[in-house]
Amino acid sequence: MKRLAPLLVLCVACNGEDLVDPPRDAGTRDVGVRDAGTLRDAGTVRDAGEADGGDRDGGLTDLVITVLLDGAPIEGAIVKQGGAERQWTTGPDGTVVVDLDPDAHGQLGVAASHPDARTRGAHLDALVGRVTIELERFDRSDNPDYPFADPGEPTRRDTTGQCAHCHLTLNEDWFASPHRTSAKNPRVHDFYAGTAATFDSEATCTAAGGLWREGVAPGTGAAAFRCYVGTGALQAVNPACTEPPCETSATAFAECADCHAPAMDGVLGGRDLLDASGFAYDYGVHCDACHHVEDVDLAAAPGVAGRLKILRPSEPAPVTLGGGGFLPLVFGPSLDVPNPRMGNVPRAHFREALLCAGCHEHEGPPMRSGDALDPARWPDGALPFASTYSEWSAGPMNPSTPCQACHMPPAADRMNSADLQTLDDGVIGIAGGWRRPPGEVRRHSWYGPRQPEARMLELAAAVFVSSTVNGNVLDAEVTVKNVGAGHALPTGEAMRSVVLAVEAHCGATPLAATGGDAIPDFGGALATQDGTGDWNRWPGAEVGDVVRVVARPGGHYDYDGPLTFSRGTRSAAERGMPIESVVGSRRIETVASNGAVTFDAPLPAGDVAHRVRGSERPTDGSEAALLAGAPGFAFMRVYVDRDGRRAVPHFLAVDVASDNRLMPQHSHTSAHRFATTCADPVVTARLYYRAYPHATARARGWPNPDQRMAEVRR
Amino acid sequence: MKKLALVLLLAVACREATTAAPRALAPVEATDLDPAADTVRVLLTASHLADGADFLYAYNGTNPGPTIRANVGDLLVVDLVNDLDTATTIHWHGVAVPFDMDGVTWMRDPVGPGETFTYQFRLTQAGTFFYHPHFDTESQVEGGLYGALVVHDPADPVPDVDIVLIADVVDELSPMQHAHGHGRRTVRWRVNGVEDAELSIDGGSTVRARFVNASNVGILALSAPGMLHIASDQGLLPGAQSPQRIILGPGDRADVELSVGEDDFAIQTAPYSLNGGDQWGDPVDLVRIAVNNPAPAPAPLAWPFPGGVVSDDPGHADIVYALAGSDRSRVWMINGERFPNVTIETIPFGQVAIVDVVNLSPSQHPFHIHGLEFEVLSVNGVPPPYRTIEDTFNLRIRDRVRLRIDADNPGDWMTHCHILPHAEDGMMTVLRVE
Repeated sequence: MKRLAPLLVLCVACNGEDLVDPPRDAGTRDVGVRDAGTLRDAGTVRDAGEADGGDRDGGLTDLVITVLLDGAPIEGAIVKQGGAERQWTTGPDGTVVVDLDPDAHGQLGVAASHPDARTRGAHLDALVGRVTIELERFDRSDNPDYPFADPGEPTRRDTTGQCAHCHLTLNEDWFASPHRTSAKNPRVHDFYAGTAATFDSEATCTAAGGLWREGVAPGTGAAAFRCYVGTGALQAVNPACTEPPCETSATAFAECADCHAPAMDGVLGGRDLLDASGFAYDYGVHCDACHHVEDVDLAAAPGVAGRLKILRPSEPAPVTLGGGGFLPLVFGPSLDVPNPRMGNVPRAHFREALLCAGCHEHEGPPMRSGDALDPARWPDGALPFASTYSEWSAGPMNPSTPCQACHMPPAADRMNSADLQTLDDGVIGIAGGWRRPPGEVRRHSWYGPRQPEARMLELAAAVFVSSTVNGNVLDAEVTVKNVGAGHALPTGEAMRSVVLAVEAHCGATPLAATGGDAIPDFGGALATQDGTGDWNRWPGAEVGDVVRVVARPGGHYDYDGPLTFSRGTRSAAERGMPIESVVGSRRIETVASNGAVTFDAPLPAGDVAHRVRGSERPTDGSEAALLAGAPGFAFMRVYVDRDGRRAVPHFLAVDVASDNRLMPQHSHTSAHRFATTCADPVVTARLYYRAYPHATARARGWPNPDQRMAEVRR
Repeated sequence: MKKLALVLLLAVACREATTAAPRALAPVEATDLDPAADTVRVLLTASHLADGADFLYAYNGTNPGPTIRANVGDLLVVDLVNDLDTATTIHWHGVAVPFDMDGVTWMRDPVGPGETFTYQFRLTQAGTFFYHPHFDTESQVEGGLYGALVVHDPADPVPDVDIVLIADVVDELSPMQHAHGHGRRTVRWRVNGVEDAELSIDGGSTVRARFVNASNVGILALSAPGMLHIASDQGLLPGAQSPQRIILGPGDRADVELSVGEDDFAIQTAPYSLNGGDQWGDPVDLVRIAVNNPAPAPAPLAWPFPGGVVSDDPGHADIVYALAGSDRSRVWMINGERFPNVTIETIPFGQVAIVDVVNLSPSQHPFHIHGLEFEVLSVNGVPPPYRTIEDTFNLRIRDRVRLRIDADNPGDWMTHCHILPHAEDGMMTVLRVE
């Protein structure tokens, strides 16, 4: 009962007008009105016309439903009984005889839907008779004058203009999800403008090596001083802007807003992310954006630039109906949502991976002006920027298990998307919707790594350890398998990586690694030098830093990566991961002003040296450990830029140096050797996820915690 | 097993008592056809029932099938006569049988129409077990082919009432229902074939109620006043437990002790969906207990609980099973594979294996392994509050469960979700012990 009052108001708004046509002929009731420009509403059939004895206890029914589309009988319309499991399809004459379930909960009613029309419904007083439901085609032209609706928040949902007013728990789900913050995420804006929001004063900015200059503040468009660090997307795609800030001079916008701020009023596609303000900025990917996706065209540019075909309503309607003066129109998965306040049209893509591909799939030529691809490596002329949908498509979860199956799990405790369980039975019907089967309502949480409570990382991977001891040599093999993710592991932004760290102990005594696979450079280092460098000189070093030396004995890992990095599509060398073996590490004892250092023991010979600092093992929630050169392995799509810099963001990439991420059900086994001092050493393998490359996070001051996926001791 | 436990045939009164004749709620007891003291021989004839019956099939014409009772150590011999017009088998759910006796059709033929087959094996573990076909399982179990096998431990105290309560959901194959048995708005349970069941029990009685969930997709969330949970799949728990409720997925069993006093009460189940667990709605009565001759509730019986603590988690797994799929597509997989095209994992005979089961699907899954028992070491990294030895364990959505298996029974053991349509549509694999 707690929300009864607002919904009753809504019901009056929906049903208060005399919306039921006079009988077309004896025994027939039409649902809807005819005068253009006014609400065509689902009404109530107040008697059963030819009803002669049908009752809700009898169960014997003979109800003829006729569905008209723009006045003509329509074949193929779906008629569904509210709150029941029965549905029927109209025949060539637009009619269907239905056998209603008299025990369905709530008001007895049916809904008629068609892909070209808003769903409409009728309440019934009897189970027999004839009912006509009139549908009308909606205008298929997108209306840039439509103002995207306010989704509301869990603490701000007082008016019926907010989606949250009725969809309480869905709104709570979404509010806690990364979709809500997609347009205001400071990391996104840092990459966009080439800034570091963490450094919010001239002093901290300068200390971090940044430029403290006046630019444009995200969300408001106001002039504001910002800390500029590195190259942002705006600078990359606007060659006329040779140094930051580029916000005011940019004419190209790197496609960011098309997915990160899809609900900017006005023209869609190609917008400046800094144009996002108000709801578009505060709420990112929100209800009124997604539920205006009328179709998905994979061949078009991502997001609202074309792939997600946004259709905003254009038919005028009384402003009292909401919808900014336009007849409500939304798209959703259900066939039986006749509430005229919603103007729902069913679309199957809400239950398909295709919808997610609207943004979680992105490829194209290099984004930085002047960059070009090597046609021998990229004959199609396109680099993958985000390939989650393709990864899923190539795996065993396609087509049976779409994204929604894992990322939008069922919510059995909700009767319907409007939280019918909190309402009085009186509104169960066209106004409040009907009771849905348990689990039909899906959480709008889009669970992922940023919601640790969902344990998605823990479920995604498995680690297996085996080892043998021969004399004082411990040989261990560690297999990492993508057991749970339906896409590559990791996926999403190419910045994501998964790092495997391997240790061995005799009791509490750590064992020295003497060989085996080493964690690559993207496992994190403060500095890296190859064999041509002076390993006794490390500018910026501090006493206590450690230099890890690895050898490159020759050859490349023959890993089996995703898509064009799968075994068989390119040679091991073309897949670009040189075999690297642990040699040893030394601690820096002294540091001179010119960067010259001394070690606690002579550095061993090798091919690559990494200088690191801090913890030598990852810890859940702690800042990413610097693990390059340590025993272990790592998985990442590694972009390189025009200057050969590795692990750069996608907007600077000209190539993928390697991509050894694990496809679904794929595994990789690494080998590790330690000098053991006991007969029963214990090997510990730690698998951790991290959101950003260390260098990127450090330069911009981003928090970058390691997130535990698995820890295995054997 | 000649000294049957005291089993009362208890009358049931239905709400529509005016049209339903009283009938025994307890299943029919199987007749032991072998006079030998340590052998129980039973004849089970699977046949169609007449049109209009509540079920399509029955063993020996009764639903559930006869309860087979024996003692630990007994030899059980069951002669199956297949009078159906389709093939069938009997799987001894939860019993460590020789592989040839497991009733599966992996690498062997089912029992054809008109054929007979003799199952024979020694019973090594006391507990409440479940028998049902493992051929066209979804249809045949739904049709009524199921029963209980009770293996008594002579060391157990004898309660005043020892009754099998086999719960099943009505009409699970209805074409109206949502895909794959998912998402029915309301679920109608019946116990021992009866809806709205009622038991009359004398006050002052001790009751051992042996629950078996024989439904295809329904999950029980059992509760009763003062209910003590004394045994799970593989026999007595380490000690009596007093859970607020017991979740029983299909194929799962639980023995509870009830002390009947002066007041009527009900054994209830709360609405619980495989599509996400706790569901909207109010608890419903599974069985109402009507007290005859009210008397003070007796003290709990002195069960020979074995004690023990949860085994240490060794920190690793040898095998991982990942459960995936969707009710909308009706495709269910283990490790991305659908039975029968599966990768067979092997445990060397005599060794201990650690198995992780992870569930990333939008459904709960009662995970069942044939021929072997397992200890639950942890659920999402947390050890269970007490040691449980199971053969079926219900995974919630996004659960990760670690199991310890003693590979002491060689065979190619079916390993599957016991949501029967899930298993039928691929969520099954083979765990080999050799």
